Amino acid sequence: MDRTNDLDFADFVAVQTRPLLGLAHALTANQHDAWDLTQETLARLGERWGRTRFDEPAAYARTVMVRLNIDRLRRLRRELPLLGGPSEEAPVDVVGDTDAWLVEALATLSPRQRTALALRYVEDLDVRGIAARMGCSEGTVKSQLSRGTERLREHAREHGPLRTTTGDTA
Amino acid sequence: MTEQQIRDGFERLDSALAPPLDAQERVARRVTARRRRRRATVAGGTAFVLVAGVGTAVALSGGDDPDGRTIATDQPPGPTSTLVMTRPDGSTVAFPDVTVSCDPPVANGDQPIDTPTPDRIWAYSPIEFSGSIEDDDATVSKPFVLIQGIVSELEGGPVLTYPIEGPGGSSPEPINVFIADTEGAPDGNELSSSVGDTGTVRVLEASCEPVPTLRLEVSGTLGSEEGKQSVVLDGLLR
Repeated sequence: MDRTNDLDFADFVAVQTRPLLGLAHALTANQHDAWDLTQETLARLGERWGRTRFDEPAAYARTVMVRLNIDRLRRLRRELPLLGGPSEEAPVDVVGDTDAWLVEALATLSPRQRTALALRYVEDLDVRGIAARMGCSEGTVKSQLSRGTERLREHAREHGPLRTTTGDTA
Repeated sequence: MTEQQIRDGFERLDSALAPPLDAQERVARRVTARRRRRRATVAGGTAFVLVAGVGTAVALSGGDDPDGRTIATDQPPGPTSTLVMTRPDGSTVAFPDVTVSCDPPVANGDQPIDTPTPDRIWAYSPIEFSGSIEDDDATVSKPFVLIQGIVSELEGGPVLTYPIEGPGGSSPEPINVFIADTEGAPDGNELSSSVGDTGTVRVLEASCEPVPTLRLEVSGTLGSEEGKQSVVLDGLLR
């Protein structure tokens, strides 16, 4: 990576870290995992920056993030300890409220269900767009959205009135 | 629970966190860590040394092989390799001695350099390095080729075109052709199909049962992972 590419990538990181962190938070419902996923996504782009031409780096980053999240239990647990990742304190700042019911409910969903819902409600993608990001069929996306949404509603019904709190399950 | 309530909840989740002020430095450190780990991978480096002890324990217990698909079998008679690397200056290196295995490759004769992983197959020429891993001065003693594939993704004999990438541009790729070359100051060169310019891998057979078998045809230019010179790798493994 030469200096020009370093500067380009630095600009990308400066602009994209916050929105990527937001998506990661929706994908994981966990501060630590959100930062970890954001950092890993950016690192993977940074590794390739200057060697690979990214037509739409922001969209590419989101695809990388989504697929890392789906596979992270299988893949990252093996990789991240070697990078000093999991033991690191999540350095993010909590600057807004989150809905405890949603955080709790998301924790009960499968990674694919959480991913489909996050792409729908945070990225505002339609079924086709979600399928492209997740690398699966539109039918699978519909199924994940349907089951995930129903699970959210079940959780809200079972756990009473909607509550608002700060922070989440770090 | 309305659609709007769910949407509002996600909006708050999206905006609840702010990254640290030193996010750029943290990302840069992780990029460096990933590169260092990749280099260590080539040289049988620190990461692999850490992994090797764990890997041995895991292999004995079978604890990392839920599907039972990592097979430790006697090696079949050695495959025939006509793989030849050609550098831009015309010099060539042949890799006639290739081992195919569904157990991780070993460096310097007996040091595992990866963890046992179900559904993986490797083909590699002798991997030798010198120097101290802990002192970060381990260097490859002679060029080697290392091919790693995911067996289930190589069924049906796919033809994969460079650059070969995994889902979303992330690893693992269905197959990765890697060369560690000794030329390329100051510490050699690392090249792979994931940054390859042009070329293909035609998979003829990939299987761990009854014995590890990987037959393929490689043709094309591997790109340098370090921004150095590219090399051509052509030939058959059968």
